[in-house]
Amino acid sequence: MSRSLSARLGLMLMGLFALLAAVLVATSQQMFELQRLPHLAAELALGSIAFTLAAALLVFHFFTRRLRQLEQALDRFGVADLIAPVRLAWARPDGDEIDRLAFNFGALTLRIAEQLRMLERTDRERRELLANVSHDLRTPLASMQGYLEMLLLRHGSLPPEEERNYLEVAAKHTERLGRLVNELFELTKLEADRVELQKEVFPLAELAQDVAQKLKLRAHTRGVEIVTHFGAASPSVTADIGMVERVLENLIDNAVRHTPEGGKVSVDLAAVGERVEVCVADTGRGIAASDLPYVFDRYYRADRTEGEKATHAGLGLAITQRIVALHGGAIRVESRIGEGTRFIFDLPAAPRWPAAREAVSF
Amino acid sequence: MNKQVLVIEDNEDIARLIKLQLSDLNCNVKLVFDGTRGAEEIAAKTYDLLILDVMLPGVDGMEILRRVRARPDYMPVLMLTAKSSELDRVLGLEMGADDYLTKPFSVLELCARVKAIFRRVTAMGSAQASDSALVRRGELSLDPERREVQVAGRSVDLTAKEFDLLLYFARSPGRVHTREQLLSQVWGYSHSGYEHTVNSHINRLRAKIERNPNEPEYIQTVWGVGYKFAGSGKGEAA
Ligand SMILES: Nc1ncnc2c1ncn2[C@@H]1O[C@H](COP(=O)(O)OP(=O)(O)OP(=O)(O)O)[C@@H](O)[C@H]1O
Ligand SMILES: [Mg+2]
Repeated sequence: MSRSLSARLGLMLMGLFALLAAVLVATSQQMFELQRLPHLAAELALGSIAFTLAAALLVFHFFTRRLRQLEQALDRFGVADLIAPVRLAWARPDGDEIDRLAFNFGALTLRIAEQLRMLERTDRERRELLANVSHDLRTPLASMQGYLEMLLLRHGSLPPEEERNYLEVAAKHTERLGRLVNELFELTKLEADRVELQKEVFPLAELAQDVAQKLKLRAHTRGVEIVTHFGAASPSVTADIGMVERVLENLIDNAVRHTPEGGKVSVDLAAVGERVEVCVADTGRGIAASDLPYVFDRYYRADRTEGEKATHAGLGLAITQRIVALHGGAIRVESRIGEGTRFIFDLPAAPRWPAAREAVSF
Repeated sequence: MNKQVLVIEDNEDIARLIKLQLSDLNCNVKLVFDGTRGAEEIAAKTYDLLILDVMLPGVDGMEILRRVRARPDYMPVLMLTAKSSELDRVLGLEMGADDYLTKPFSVLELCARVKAIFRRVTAMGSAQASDSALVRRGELSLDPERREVQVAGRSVDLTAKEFDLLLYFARSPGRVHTREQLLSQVWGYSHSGYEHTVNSHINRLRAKIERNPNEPEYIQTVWGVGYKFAGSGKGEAA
């Protein structure tokens, strides 16, 4: 009923005037005695002034009380570094203007507080990333610097095989540094959404076959077999060939690296509605349930053996996930320790072939 | 005879490293450290190879490449770039750089690329002299000299690399090539990270020459191995 300030004001004034009328009626008996008439004008004037003042004060107090509370709440919000949102018991979205104002202020401060928390979190993440990055860059740099300085210092006095050994160490670390810088660059670009996909329609099986073939030699030397089952009826996708190659390469390479001798890595495709699903499965060591939720995080390595740490930064799956997401898809992982791991992702399926083409006669 | 090589690279240490390395390959190497002097140099003289940095003070590398390509004679160009973004790479290639290397690169890789470019240039010279005969496979006919392709009498527009790839396929019908082999034979180098360009080209070629690219008649997939050219049976003679 009293949804607005003017309605409330009206109601309140009506009440006050009714009160005034009642007082007048009650006192009219004495008031209108003849001998008192000359005083009446003066009394009425005084009375109405007093009444108006009292009424104004009452009304003013009634309306400003809430404004004052709101102001104090906002002050507290500012003092508390914008983290505790303003909550007033009487703030309602269906009250009068002041109630709504307070309600909106409450919602606004809640959003400010939430966004601030989010900013702080990303800021913390950035700082962690930077710390990680500089650590990862520093490690190979330190080795390079150390070995090169040693070579300069002892130049001419080192036995040749020792010298060669130092040089090899330095060269190995430069390679690692280069790889890391490339991956970081790639990921930053992907995360900043600064990439444009060069989409084209292509048979996914062909690319998967070529990538599998590229990695076959490496797998073979580890005693791991890469199995692919594709046929002519394989589905086409609309995607960026270079990026999809990156995804397949990382997944197959991961699978091969974490599968013991005699194991198998298989790549399968399936058309599922408007999408094509790709599954890279292995019979390897698996990933612990406690590690599973984190494998897509940057720098997360479930395998903490020394050899792995020296050559792999743990950026591959973060890059992979980002690329799949850029194609409007998702990637998931299923794994059982000691039995194997499956990564499954999807890409947009392409129409069989544009109808316009078929109209062209040869 | 020694090859004349011009290196335009503003980082003097890298420029010297290149010179050291190429001198072992019997090259006379001239170093220029900025784009303006580089542009003057290529306007005045012809080299057997230009090694060109993309980011240069003065005239930038892309502009120099444009000027080199505007010349009537052919000068091979190897581009160096610090930015490994795909766009730069492709741009470099579409604009007609013969090859590119991203920094940091290994000197061994550099030597391999330079040798590959020299080999290719020599091969190009001899191929032009000898093998310009028309190639006919099925309804497809290729004219290596005029670099023209016809499918059932209709001419088809191909880019330079698409043509090279198709010609390579058509000259060895029935033989199976892996993607790596195609990359090294047709593009002249084996760069890991660039193999997918072969898939892209096969893909576009099929769209241009095949009746139904989903069931290609000419460029076919040999599952588990690679690709082969099937001559479509009729009119096999070259
Ligand atoms: N198929 C798999 N089997 C077992 N563990 C795996 C498998 N794939 C990934 N992992 C685990 O997930 C971690 C993250 O993989 P990711 O590809 O992101 O990094 P990486 O391979 O270690 O390094 P990079 O890809 O940057 O060279 C790996 O370190 C490994 O511990
Ligand atoms: Mg990986």
